[in-house]
Amino acid sequence: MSKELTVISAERQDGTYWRDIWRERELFYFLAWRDLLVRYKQTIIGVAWTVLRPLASILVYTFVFGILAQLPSEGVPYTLVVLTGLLPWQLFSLVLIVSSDSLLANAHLVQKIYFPRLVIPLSSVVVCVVDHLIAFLLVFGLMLWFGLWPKPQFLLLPFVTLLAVACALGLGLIAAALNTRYRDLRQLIPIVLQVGVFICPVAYLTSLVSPKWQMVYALNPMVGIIDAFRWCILGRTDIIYPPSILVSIVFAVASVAVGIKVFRKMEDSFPDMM
Amino acid sequence: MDYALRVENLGKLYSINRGGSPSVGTVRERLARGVDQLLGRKSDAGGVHAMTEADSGASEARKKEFWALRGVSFDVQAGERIGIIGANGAGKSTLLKILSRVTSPTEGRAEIRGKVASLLEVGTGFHPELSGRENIFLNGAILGMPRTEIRRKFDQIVDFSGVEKFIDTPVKHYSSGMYVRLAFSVSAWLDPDILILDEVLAVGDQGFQKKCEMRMKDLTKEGRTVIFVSHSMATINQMCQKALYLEHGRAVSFSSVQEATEEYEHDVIEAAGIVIVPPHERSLDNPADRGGTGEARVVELNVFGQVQAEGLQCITSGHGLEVEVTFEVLDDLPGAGTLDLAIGIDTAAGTRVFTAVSSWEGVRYPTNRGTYKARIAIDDMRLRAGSYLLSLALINASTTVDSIVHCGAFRVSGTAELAGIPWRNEHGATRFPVNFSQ
Repeated sequence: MSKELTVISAERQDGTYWRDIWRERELFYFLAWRDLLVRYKQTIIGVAWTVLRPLASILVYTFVFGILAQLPSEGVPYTLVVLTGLLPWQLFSLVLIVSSDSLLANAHLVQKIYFPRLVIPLSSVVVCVVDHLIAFLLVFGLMLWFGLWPKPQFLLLPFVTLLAVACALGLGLIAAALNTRYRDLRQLIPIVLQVGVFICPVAYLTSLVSPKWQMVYALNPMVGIIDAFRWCILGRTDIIYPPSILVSIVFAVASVAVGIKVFRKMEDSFPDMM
Repeated sequence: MDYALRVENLGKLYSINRGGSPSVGTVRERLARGVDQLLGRKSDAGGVHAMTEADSGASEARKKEFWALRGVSFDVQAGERIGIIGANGAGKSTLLKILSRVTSPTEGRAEIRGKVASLLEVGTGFHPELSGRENIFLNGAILGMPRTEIRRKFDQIVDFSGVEKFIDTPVKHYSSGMYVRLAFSVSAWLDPDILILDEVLAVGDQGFQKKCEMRMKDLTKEGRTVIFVSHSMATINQMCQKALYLEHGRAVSFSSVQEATEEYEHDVIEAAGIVIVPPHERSLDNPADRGGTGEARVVELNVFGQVQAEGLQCITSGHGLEVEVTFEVLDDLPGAGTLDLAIGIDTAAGTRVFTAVSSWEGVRYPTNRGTYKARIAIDDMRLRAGSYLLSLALINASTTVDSIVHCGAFRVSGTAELAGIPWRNEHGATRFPVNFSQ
């Protein structure tokens, strides 16, 4: 007899939101599953691309920064410098692009079915993480190639991955929400990312930045993430700037918190805006 | 009482910018406006600026607002099947969107008891690259069906859709018919307490439509509450007990399906402009629907019922109706006295009830030049209550000389029930004297 009561009114019903999200975990799972299926539909080729794309970038950056420019690598093979910079960077970019685009990509769902909209960007992250894991084959391959044995801190990599995802997702949530209102925002993000490759220590070491500027440089949250990633794989503290990791953790938490707040604030207007 | 849905004073306000675009802009425009404001410049009226004026407070007046829905209230008891009717833009879809929580209301509230499934579209979330099998699971999840339930009903769904041979083919290779059939089949096996449907029955070929209709009826028989939007009065009449009639975002009536659909049909006739000029004053000179060679033409039409109400001649069902037609033969026609006069009666929805031709009754009219008056008396009009339209034609030796569609209207009342049994649309528009014996 006691059937669940749903109240629809102009005032927001905040109380049930997180419960609703939990209830829609099946939908979360299926949306992620759909993205994965579509992405890797051509199985072997799909997976191969995921490895080939970063491999190509690694080779190019190694050639340009390591061989042509001869940037210092403190005894680390330059290929490994680029590898450990590129992987977390690619994860960050992909999460940011995919999550900020997720609402518009699923506009047909938003306009026809109710569910907590947060499920869409959240589920879009799964495919990025799987991509990252596949690209991780490169880490094993190159470590083997250079005869590098994993250090204990290798086990902390999932935490670094989480950090990169959190930073990007928070920004992605804000961008996704704003995307429904300002349609040219999606063109802005790739430009920002293009500049980002060079601002962040993707193809060089943080230690390249002069010590008196390192504190300012570390305000970029990606510095901490890439440094943490390098430390986990290469195990060297002298080529990174450890305090930057703290900045990244603070930024990740703040980014997700603000992202969710902005997203929730604009959420009700999504169907009418799209 | 145990209500399933209670709607109180529900309203939805939309704002549309001048030029009709919703308030979506670009960062570029927003920045340009910001710079203008900073420099104290007044933004010029035309061009890109005008499009995003909505969110700059200075030009509030440009923003056009309209209530897609306003002040709508009604209660639905558990197990009731409610139809929502009204013309395009009456607010039907907005109401469904609010009830299915896709969009939130601007004012008022609604309370829903139980699990809701809403089908505002067939095949929501279908992905062209995925196979039929994969899409069934995806669509099921989107509609709120747990995985275990989809797995349990999977065979039924595939069987119902009739695409089992292609179930592992990506749906982008499906014909549109197959696609829609598969899409509907998933929805057909939903199991909610309250089902919200928007015109989804109109898919597939006729055979499949019948199948869907039957399935929907089964679904509704299982004690479910159903909210259903359709333009088909016949379907509404068959499936629903009560109907909400919306017009320009407001509820005109919420009553038995009989009354509501009649009221709607009546308004449709009125809106078509047929009643606004009463038939006997109506000029037959230049109606758009006129056909035939034009060698003779109907110049006047009078309908005589029992009473006149709201500009319409009315009869009680089972009484007679008289129609007086004046027609003019412009030039001598071939044949001698072979002119036929035909009259057709349609329901307001446009379904022909019957046609009467004078020669069928052994009567023909003169073919020589002149003006003639014909009286058509139809006794014992055993029609269902509602509004009807009539059409006329003059035919000579199987050539249509003049034809004019829906040139008159009349109303039949008093048969909502016969001997305590409701006479619904699905029973047909007319009845005949029939002898039952033992």
